[in-house]
Amino acid sequence: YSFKDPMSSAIGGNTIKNIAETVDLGNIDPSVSDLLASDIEYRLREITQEALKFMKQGKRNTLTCEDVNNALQLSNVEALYGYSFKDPMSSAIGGNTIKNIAETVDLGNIDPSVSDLLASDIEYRLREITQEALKFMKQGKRNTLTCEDVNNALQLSNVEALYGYSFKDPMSFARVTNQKGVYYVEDEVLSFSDIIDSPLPKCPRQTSMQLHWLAINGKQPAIPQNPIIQTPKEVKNIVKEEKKPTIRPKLKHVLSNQLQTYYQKVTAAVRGNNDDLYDAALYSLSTDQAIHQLVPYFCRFIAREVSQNLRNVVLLNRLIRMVNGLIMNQYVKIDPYLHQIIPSILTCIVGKSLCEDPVFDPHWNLREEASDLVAIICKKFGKKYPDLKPRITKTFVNALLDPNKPLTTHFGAIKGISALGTQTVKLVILPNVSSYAEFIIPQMEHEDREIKYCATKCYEALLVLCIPLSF
Amino acid sequence: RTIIENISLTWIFKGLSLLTMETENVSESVLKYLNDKGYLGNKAKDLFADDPTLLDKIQQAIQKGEDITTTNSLQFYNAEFAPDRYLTSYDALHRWVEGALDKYRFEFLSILYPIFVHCYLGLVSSENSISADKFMKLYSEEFEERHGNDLISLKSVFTAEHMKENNFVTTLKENKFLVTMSPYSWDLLLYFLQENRYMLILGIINRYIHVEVKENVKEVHFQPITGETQSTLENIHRYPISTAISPSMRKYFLKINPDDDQMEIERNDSKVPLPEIDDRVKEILEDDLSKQINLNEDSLPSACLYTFFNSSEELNNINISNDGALAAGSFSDSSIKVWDLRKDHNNWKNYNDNYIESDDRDRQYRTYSNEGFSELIGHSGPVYGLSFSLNNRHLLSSSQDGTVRLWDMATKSNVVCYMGHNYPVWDVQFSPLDFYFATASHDKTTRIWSTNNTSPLRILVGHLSDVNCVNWHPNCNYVVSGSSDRCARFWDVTTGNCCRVYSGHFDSIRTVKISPDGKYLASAGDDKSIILWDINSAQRIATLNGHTKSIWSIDFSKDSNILASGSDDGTIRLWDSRMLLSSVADEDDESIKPRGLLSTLVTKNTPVYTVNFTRRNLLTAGGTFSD
Repeated sequence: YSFKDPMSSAIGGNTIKNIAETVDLGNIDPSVSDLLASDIEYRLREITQEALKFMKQGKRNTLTCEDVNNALQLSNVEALYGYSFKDPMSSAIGGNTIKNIAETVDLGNIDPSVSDLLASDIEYRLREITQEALKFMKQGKRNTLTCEDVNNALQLSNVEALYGYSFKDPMSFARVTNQKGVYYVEDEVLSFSDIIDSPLPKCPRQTSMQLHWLAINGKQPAIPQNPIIQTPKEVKNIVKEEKKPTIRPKLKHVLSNQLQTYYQKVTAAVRGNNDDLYDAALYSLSTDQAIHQLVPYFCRFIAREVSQNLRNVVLLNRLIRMVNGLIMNQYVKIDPYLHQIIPSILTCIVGKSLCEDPVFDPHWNLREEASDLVAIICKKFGKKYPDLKPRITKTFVNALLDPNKPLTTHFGAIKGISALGTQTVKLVILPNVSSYAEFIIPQMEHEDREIKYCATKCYEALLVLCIPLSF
Repeated sequence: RTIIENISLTWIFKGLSLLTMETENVSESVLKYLNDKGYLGNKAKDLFADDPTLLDKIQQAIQKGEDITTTNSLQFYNAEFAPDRYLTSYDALHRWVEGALDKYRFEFLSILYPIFVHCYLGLVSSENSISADKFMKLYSEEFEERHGNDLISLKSVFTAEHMKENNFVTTLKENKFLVTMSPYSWDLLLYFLQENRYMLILGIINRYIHVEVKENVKEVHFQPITGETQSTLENIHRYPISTAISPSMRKYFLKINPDDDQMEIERNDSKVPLPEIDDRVKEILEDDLSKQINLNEDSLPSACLYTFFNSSEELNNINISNDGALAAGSFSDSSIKVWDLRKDHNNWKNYNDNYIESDDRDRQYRTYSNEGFSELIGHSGPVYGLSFSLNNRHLLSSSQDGTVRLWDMATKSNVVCYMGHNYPVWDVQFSPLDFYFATASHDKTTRIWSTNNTSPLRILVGHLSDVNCVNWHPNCNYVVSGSSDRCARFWDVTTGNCCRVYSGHFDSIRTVKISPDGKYLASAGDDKSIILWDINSAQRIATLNGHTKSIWSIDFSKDSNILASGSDDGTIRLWDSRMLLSSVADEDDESIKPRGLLSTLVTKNTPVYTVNFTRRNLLTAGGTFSD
């Protein structure tokens, strides 16, 4: 460090010297300050490097104060508070503005501190007047501040009102060239004859008053003056009625025309071939708030379609996704209809034949997808209905351990159990895995191509199921 | 040494006691303090080296002088040398409160706001406006919802000069916040502050916050600054008031319920001399009373909405007379328009069809004067308050020009102009038996007038900000006023004394109303909630939440069973005040409706300016259609 020009440090020794003086260390050797300067620079670079890591991790391109604070914490330095702002002082009026205004009245040189002081004072006055003006606004029961309000506020503090600002159309301000943040009101040149020739503006409409019954004995009559609304009370009643299945009103469930049309469109989309339409229907089922009334109808539709189309794997797939959509919809309470839906889903998992050709048709996927859905239902409603999961598990186990059931059913049962989670697998598969293997392995060598394929599928599924258990 | 002796020693001691607590090293802190003060350079070291006893002397003095005033005055010194301390200690407290046990956190949260305010002011007063600004930005967010308007006023202050002249700040500085805490949480807080040596915050608590330690704190309500100390407030509340209504007045205004026990001895015949009710009015009152409908949660009132069109920007207030026959609107263009519904309805509607005009402008002119209303012109500024007299023969109006005018409804002309306020008059209200009236003004006063005298009879002073609304007690002996300082005050008209202060709103109060039986008070305003108070004990009975915008008007039904509120959100809500007031309400009622809400009447885009029960218990409401 004894060179004259030791290092090009970003932080000069002079800086250190100045800092030292502020803590009353008047005389420090230049070499000491240089040493400190380079050390500080090193530390800074170190912290910056760490901070950049945080920035990169946040996938940003600008370094923020947060990053630096995180980096500081890494090296056990207390974070620096109060720096995380864009601008240090939120003054609406800058010192520059004051300077520019001063120039217009021929006060060329004013000290920056003076202009800052003036700026802050002006801002205070502005806020004061705004506060008073807001009072007038509130007393006028309005939500927008008008020029009149400001003028009234000015009068309160004995300042002459500013005239000529209360037009409806806003004033156009033009920027002063080469000056940042300075504006002036643009004065348009108008032709006098144009103004004279133009037709008179229309008179504003006269204030009038109308009376109507807002409520009669607390009920709002359905007259044009009253808005049509469904009060929360009525909504609540609908929910209540559906919760009590024992009380069956003799009245028919009345559906509005819109809902009926909606139901027809959705069911047609599910049955039809148009994928775009079907996707739209699915999206609507999973997000719309207003379809709650239709849920029982949808459930019935699904149950009917499943039972009637046991060999149409494409339609079954679409129906399963429809159920999924309804369950995902957070505005729909599907619990009361679970008992209607679950059998249909289970059919799609353990059904004997869900298609024409068990080898080539994609019914294996359908079984898996339906199993996932059952798992979701168990997860979502398992707490509310504790016997839900055991009952489903029992169905699967019974299907699996019955050697007379076809192998496709076995495959579905295995998939279904595996979707219910490792705990279930441990509980119901492990005790039976060896006996089942003895049953299935011989079948894999069967001469019938179909049985052989199905047995292999089952065996694979069983293996997949048991792999996580072996760890 | 001479320098040291020249400095007022006590000041040093005061300044030092904090530092010594922190560093445990007196000599270091003494040096640091003196350095910071700029009294000495390196010489100080030699000075102490020369005379070791000096140090002991200082130390002893510190130990002796350790009292609460020392800690208070310390804060000035601290603010000068360490603006960051405000940030760090507030930050620590904030985090501590966030992490506090759920059971006590709400109590701590209530003390956080006053501390926040005074930390900010501390920073501002020590000319650290940049730090103050940072502080505000960092921590103001959580108070935005409840204290939004206060924060706006606070933000506007960022130099010590402005602090001196800002009304809001001087109020804060001169008064104490009132905070209720349970003994355990108070101990926890003190322990936390002392353990970590956050003397700055401790100082703020000592100076600016009055902590009331109470067992069984169930709910913490924000207590706005009332301007009185806790003890004077208690004294005020001891002042006896009688909410009883004399039988001579009950006869005309209250259906005497046979079950209603006459618990209050009718010793107080009205202290305020009351005018005679003339016979025609008596007849009307008796007739109305006999036709009054009983209201309760099963039989809700019918409501009639007076919708004003083409006026949403201009219309300031609506008043509907007590029988619903007259409706008046006060406008920004200094005019008042009065509609008289007693005129033949068809005639009224088709009046201008009779005119066949030559050109468009002429027709406009004709319809102008024949639209069904009469225009009262006389004020020289926007008109705000309106009040019809009992017999519908007079109308009072108050305006931005500081005057109150009395209008005769028969001739539609101005009869008297009352001058007294120098600032805008926000509200005016006839007393229940006419003759007297009360005004609420921007000049922070409420005044009581009689119609036959152009100067006020009483000037009621005490509010710290604009008085927005005023309402008479049914027995004419008291008025209640609501203000932007978030308090409502109950005044004795005879003596002019303030006898109760109701504090608990978060924002300006826009409307106050006393129930017709004279026992309860309801107040509401910009904080969107209605608070029901017991007049005599000044205790809150219930808080009614549900409106989504400012509430402009509330009214009790004449049997005090139903409370109606009209709001900027375009709804009128009906509340079961009987259930709430008898306080047998089930707290755990888990209905989706807010507690006590009976019904919500929705209008078409019409902010409701006024709600009013007629003497027959018909609900009349006025609003302006906004498109």
